[in-house]
Amino acid sequence: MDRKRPARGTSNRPPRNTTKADLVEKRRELLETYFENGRQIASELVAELDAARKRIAEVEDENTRLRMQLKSDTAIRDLLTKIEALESERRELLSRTSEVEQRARSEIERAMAVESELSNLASLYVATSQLHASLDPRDVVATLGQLLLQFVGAGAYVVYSAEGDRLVPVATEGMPLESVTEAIVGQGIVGGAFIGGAPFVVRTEDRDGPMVVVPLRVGEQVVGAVAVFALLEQKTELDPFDHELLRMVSAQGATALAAARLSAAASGSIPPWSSAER
Amino acid sequence: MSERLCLVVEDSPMMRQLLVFALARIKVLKVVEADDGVDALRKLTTAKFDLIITDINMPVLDGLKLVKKIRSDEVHKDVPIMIVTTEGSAEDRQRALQLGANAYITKPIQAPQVIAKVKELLKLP
Repeated sequence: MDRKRPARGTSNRPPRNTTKADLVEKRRELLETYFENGRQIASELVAELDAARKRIAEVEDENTRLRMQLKSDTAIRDLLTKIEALESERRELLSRTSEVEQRARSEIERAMAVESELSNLASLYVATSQLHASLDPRDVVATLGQLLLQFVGAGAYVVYSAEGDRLVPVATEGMPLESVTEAIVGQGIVGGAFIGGAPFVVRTEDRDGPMVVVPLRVGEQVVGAVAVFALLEQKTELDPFDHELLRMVSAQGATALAAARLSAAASGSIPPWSSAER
Repeated sequence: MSERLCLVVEDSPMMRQLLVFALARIKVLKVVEADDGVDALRKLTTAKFDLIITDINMPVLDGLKLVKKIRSDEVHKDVPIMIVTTEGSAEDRQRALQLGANAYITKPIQAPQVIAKVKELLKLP
């Protein structure tokens, strides 16, 4: 095996004049240097190890922090989702509440309308039944008057009974009977109400004349008429239900009066209406 | 809820029937009818009434005189009285209330209005 010769002056072999003490010293220096280097390396390694440990600790801390943040973010995300769901639920509940409120209002209005309709039907029923409750013409006329006063709110009215083509006033309210003149069927406001066949006629242009005239007619037979001249103080105008009542008066009042007159005439107990009865 | 007794004083049979019809909507109410003030006074001796509804214009004894008599009656002096009348002037209303009436309704009546007032006077739900 080829062994390289060390370069001159660099050989480890001690010079020929070197003493044993020198060698020992040299060895000691060499060892010291060796150990010094080892210590230095070991110290550097320890420092690096410390730094690495520190770094690991930092990374672990960072990792923990990030993990916690991630957890926190997830919780926030969950909460936000929950809030959104609750908001949606709230909106839905509000909408449903509004819907229910609207439905309740509508039901109340409907109930009130039904109550009002029921009240009107009761009035019509009572009025009709009372008109037909007696076969005495005087009772029927009195009932017609009560109906006009109490149900329609007529403060001044005249009830006429037909005698041939004459309309004789037989009952009044709010004006003396003596002050009311007879009317002729087909003439004037009261007598003219039979022309045209309307259930009742409303006139407003003549302030002294009647505001409403209700002809009482059974088929083609004229039975009488009702004229309203004024309403009660608290009644400002006729409403749609008053018109219903007047239509009923026109039909049922005429029938009731005709039946009562026929019955009275047949029994002879009460003579037909005449001017003398006024 | 206990039954309440109501006296309706009205000379017009038609109006009386209409009031009875309207009051029938209040289930706890039992209605007794009187033709006029005198008839009412007679009926007031037969029972203790919880409410009296009366007209003003009636033969024999009118509604205002009836109110006055009721207010001096030991048994019924505190009973609520409701006037239902054709008299719509402010003076008539004032007079009736001064005499001791608790409510004043003018004719023509609307049943819901009467029902509401009766419930209010009787403190019914």
